[in-house]
Amino acid sequence: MPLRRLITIVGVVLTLFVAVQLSIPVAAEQPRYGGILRLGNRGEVPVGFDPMRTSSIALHHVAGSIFGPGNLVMRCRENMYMVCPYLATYWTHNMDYTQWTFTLRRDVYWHDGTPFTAEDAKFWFDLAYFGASAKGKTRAPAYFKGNLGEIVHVEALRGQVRVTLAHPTVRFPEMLLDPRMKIAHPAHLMKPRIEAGDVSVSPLDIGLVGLGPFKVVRNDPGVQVQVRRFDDYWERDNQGRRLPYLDGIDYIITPDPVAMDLAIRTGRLDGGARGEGHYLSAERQEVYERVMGDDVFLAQMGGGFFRLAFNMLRPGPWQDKRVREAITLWIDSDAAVATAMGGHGYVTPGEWPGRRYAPYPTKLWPRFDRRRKEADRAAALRLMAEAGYKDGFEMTYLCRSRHLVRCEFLQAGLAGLKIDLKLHIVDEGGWNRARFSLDYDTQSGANFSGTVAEATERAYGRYSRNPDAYARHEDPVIDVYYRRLREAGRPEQRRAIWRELERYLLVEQVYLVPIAGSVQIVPYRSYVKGLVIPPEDGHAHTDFATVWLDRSK
Amino acid sequence: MNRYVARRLLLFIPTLVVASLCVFGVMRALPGDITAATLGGQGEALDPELVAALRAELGLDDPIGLQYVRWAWSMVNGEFGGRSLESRQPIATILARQLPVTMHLTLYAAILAVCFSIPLGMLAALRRGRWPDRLVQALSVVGGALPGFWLALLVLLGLVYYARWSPPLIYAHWWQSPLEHFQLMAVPVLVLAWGFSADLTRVTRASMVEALQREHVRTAYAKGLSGASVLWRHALRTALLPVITVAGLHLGGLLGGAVILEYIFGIPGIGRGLVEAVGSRDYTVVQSYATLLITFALAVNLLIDVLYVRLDPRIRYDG
Repeated sequence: MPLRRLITIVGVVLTLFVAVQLSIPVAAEQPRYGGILRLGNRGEVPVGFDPMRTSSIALHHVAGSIFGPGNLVMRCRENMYMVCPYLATYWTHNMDYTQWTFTLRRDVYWHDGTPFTAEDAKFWFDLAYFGASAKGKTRAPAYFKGNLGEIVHVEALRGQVRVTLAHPTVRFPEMLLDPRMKIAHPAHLMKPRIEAGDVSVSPLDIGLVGLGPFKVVRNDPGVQVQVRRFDDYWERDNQGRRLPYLDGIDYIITPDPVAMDLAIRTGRLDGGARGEGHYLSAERQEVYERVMGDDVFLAQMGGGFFRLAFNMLRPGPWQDKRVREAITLWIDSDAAVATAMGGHGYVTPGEWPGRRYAPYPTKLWPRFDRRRKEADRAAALRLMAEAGYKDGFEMTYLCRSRHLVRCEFLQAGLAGLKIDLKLHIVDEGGWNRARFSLDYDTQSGANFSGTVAEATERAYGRYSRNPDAYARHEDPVIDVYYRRLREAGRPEQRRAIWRELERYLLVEQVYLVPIAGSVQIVPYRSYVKGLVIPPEDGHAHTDFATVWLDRSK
Repeated sequence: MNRYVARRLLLFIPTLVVASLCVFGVMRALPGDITAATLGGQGEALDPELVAALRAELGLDDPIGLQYVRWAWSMVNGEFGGRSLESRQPIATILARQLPVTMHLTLYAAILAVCFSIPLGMLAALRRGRWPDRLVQALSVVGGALPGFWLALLVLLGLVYYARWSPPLIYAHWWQSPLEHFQLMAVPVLVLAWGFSADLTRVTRASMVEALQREHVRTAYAKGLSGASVLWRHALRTALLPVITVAGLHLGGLLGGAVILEYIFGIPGIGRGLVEAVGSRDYTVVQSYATLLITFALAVNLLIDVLYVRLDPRIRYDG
């Protein structure tokens, strides 16, 4: 054989060998069964474990494993902005989207072994939307009632539940995606109690019987909640293996974040608690990275917003649009992230639910272009002078005491425009009362947990219809945008309408100034694998069904 | 004496009624209520209609007088305040769970403080102006000056940094797991005890210095009694009166210190329970706990007055 031919053959063989080697996928780490995960929990689980009563993360961090990550639907684990089936296998709607029929799984069991039925689904919808009445007592509907649309009635059919709505609701399954809407109310246990007059019965009162991957075996109030694998749980992984992988989870109440950090360092905890105060600040993150290095994994999620919203129903200089524009141009969002958000945050002009799913350049408006900051500020001073407020004015800001640093940032920043920002500092109780009132000039507003754009009407809509709205206004143009959003079916069409609405709210009318979004960081030991970390909303994916422990490393 | 105690006990009733009215009024005067605090758990947008519906469900829209009478009646009929508005659990059950925890914490700290501060105070008085005196005084000044929560966090950090150890996170009673109980309680008890003993040591020292100069002590020495006998039976007995007064006054402070330490160490006692109840505006729990603490303060004051008589026979309350 000639040498050249031999070299060619060897070359081809070697090339093929390398190509074959490269084409073989590296075997993914196989999840292992077993082990107990120990997680911190911010506080005692409140309100009898009832997800209809509160969105407190102290409940929802624990509740995901007990009650499951969703209801009839859930946020997909691979993409939280997509709708995945959970207790329903599929759903259909009538021609005008006023009737939705969900076909339920047949292999779902409550933790006491009772099958989950259409009666349970109907009971849950009825309890959440209408509340209950018996023996002269009345149970209030769920706090998230407003996010369920306008339900007329719910029917339990054979293996199906049908929801009839007052108006066409194109996005009804998406509206159910909120992970706070957990089914924790077994009809066979709760209905008799309610009919007997115990209308306030909670999941705790009936023994915490859930549908999730883990069942409660021990609840020491104020100390810990122990959950263990529910053997009849129906979910499988993509290889057909049963979920969950873990034997169980111990949620240990750690009210103090520093004590939680130290417990993670010494191995008494495998992961941190979720919730404000427990999410890492930049300083705490730096200590984790320096001391624990590769032994710790820092999960990041987008969180709440820092904003300044004007009360347009109260007389004052902010009635002049030039003043509102000046404030918008003046506030330095980048500085807010660095100083007022603990170093963890991002700036964005918009607050679209699922904003990370549809990112767009933050240079959409001049003030978000950092290079123009000096010019923006000069323009702000000019606008103030044109409006006749060269020497500034006094303005009040409703300040939650837990966000005092943000309030002080605003106060110090606006002093540059000679605006004397008076802080009305209130604790949580005070804030929960004041937020409905018109007694202040500006505020930051509540968090918003809706999953579809039209649901943001509660935050951006007219005050008379949405008393917890951020900016207090009675602008009928906003109604038109929301009507268009409700009627739009195609995603690109909806996104375009939302962008128009954003521009109208934030640029044309300047009813509010979005300053920055916060980034929430939770520490986990690096042997905790399979975590599903949502890009935003720490309430999502708290079922931990896909988590496994790799202590071999 | 018995008549005096009975009279004082009778005085408890109007005092408690006035105190409970004050607590009830203050809680209602605080902005916000349980419904908004609950429904707005993470600061979500609230629907005022839902708030109103939940207020009705919890009986918070009943006339204020009726709410007080209903709660006050539940305090005396054995229900101890009825149910928590937040968790719906009977308050007696919550108290039965939390009270022993705080009792353990404060009792350990009080015993430890008394066991150390009285001998140290005596030592400082006997070695007045010399190094033991200076050392004891320095320790008590530092103990009194350092905030308990800061000291506790420092000790925790030190343990993690030098020993790579942190206390257990799960509270266990001593009869369930003595070792874990000790490991969890050791640091907060030491921190509490140090702060509590600071004043006791200084008062003991000052009282002993004064007592050692009294005539009856000099007489005892002149009669040829042994030094120990004079010290323990004559000087200390006189010196203990102000010590007991200070100890009684500071018991409230001990409970106050326990609140923050319970929070840091995750100890599920009444201090932490009370703070959480105030935060969530759980009226019935706060009112019931506050009434309990006021009763405790009244009882401690009565006990101190009774102890005065035991320690100093010259004190008479009757006639």
